[in-house]
Amino acid sequence: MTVSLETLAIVLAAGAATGVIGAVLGTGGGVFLVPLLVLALGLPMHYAVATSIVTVIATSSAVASTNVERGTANMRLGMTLELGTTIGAIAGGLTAALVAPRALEGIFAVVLVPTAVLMWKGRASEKIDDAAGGVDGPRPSETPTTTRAPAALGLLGAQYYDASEGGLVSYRVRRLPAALAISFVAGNLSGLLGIGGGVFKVPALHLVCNVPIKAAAATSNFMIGVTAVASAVIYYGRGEVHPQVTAAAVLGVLGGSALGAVVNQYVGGRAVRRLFAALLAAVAAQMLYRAIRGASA
Amino acid sequence: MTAAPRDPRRIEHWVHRSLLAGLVLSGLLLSAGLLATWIGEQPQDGDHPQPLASIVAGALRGRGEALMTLGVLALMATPIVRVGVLAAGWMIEGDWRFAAVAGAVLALLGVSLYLGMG
Repeated sequence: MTVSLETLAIVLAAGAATGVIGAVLGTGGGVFLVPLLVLALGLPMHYAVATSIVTVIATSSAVASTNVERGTANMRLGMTLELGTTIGAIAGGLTAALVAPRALEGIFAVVLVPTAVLMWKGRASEKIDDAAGGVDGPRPSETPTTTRAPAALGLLGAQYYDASEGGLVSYRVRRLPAALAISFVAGNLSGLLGIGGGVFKVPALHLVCNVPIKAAAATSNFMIGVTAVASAVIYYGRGEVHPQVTAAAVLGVLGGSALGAVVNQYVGGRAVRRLFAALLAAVAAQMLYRAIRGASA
Repeated sequence: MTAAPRDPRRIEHWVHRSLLAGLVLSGLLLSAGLLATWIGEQPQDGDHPQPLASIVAGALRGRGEALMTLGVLALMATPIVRVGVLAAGWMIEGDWRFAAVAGAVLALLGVSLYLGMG
């Protein structure tokens, strides 16, 4: 496959846009990149999915390096849920030949629609909940931002400074078993569909585990790199990672992620939540379209 | 003489640095590889992955495709190194519960690598 300079420039720009979206919403951006590479640039599907899964690693690593320093990514929670996603990704790789990805896409499209509605509305306890934590007011200059939260927030609870909220945000993590189960499914889908799984992890963390939306996005982004590696090695082993296209996409993602990390500091939680709801609706429409087209083909 | 106070965010710094190091290395290799192919060399199509030794040898000779492949491998190694850094960091801090969780994730990634490339 010969790749023109013009195509590489478009892939670079698409990667940059993916990086910005990933930094703000906590997704790998594969749900945008795969259709763009296939429909707009005419790349074969297997090259597109392989490119996408490698760029998910780039988005995750670039955004996580910033979020970890800021304390937004909850590393203990992320690592615990990575158990579920990694087992799911391996199971997905092993069972890929036994399930019809198009049928799965149809099922998940139906699941994503009510999730989008819930994300748009937000958690019932979106405002400060004393039992769960909340915004504690401006951060005193001598207080270090740390993911090691006070004991009252539990083993997996955390706190971080949010400039857009104007203070330290603290939270307890709830319903961990349910989040582990959803992480397993997200990991499974990553292997089957070439996505990072952030579209499932962010709502699970926010709506099920009570994690504030910005921490949910940051923790999801922290996790998806590991999920993507578990799938990417399989694509690499099959020789489906096209060096030129992947290089252009990854370099674009790295630039976009750096820009997105800056933008993310000034975007409020409500805006992130609603942008994510719009993203879920778009992904649901895309999955449903492919499922219907696949069924009629 | 009192011991210097421990930085409460030491693990975060190490994770940040390990991720950044992987990204910089990968970015440099991918840029150099892309530049080399633009200058004149077209990559081979549809080749299955070469052994690591031959990729490194090609990269040392300045071959664009080998440089880009090495960049992709460096990128894929970055999250794995990050899990290792966290496992070691939590172990040093005596946080055995999360060190064990990170160790289990590392073992699962080893299984995935074996299944993918073994």
